[in-house]
Amino acid sequence: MTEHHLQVAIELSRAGLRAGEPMRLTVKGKSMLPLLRDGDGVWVEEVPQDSLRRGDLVVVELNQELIVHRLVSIDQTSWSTKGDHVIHLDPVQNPGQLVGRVVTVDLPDKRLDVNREPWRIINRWLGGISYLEAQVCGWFETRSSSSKEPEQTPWVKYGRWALFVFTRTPFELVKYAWR
Amino acid sequence: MLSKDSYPMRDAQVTGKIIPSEQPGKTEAVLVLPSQGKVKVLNEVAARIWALSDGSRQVRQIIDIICTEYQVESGQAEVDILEFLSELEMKKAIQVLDHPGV
Repeated sequence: MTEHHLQVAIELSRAGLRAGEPMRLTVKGKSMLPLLRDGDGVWVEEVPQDSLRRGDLVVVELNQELIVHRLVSIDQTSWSTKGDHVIHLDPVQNPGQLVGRVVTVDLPDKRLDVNREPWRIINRWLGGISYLEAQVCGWFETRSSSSKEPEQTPWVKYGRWALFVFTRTPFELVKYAWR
Repeated sequence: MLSKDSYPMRDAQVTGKIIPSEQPGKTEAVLVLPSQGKVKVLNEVAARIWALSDGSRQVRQIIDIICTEYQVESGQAEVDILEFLSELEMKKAIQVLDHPGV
């Protein structure tokens, strides 16, 4: 399949969503671990952009691919998405890249409605933590790269470790309820 | 059960678009199967079979059209077309009807 085929497929998918037909996507990759694994299915619907909230799982078109990531920051003109398992934000996006919002997740033994309680609240919480992780990691990286000393200072080293525990623990805890 | 008397009909949820192929003068089709999250690319002949599968024609009529348009031998065309339609049915891209579809 060429890039052109993929582009046509994305156009058709967008048209289907606009017509109110939900679309199923199969997750590939590890960027949404531990909540979404390779092979999980997600059902996507088109939603008005003003109904999106931090923490929603959204499908965006990025580099001619459809990506399921979490919306971690949103304002009037731009918003940021990020994979739960990666520390950096995705490249800055405009609302036109939004394809839809994930409404349900097909796990091997159950289907989760991720826009109903308690998942809606949990997703807000995870979205906030995920955004904080990206911001603090960015700060650490800036500090590390601007440091004149080749060795990291202990507080940077332990700070990163503490950040890792702080941000990963909620996802790992939620995993047991989710899966 | 798919047979030459069946009426294949495209599933309403499956969307497709016929586009020019990279090979000059040829076309192909991109199908999106939303319930499975899959995309299928069809060559020119397959795209034509897909287009003809509108529920109004029997498989035998589709075979005749393909044989005429592409000047292929009917025996091999029958085998290939039945196999292709079976594959589409398995992927839920078409429905196989016993009578003409609406």
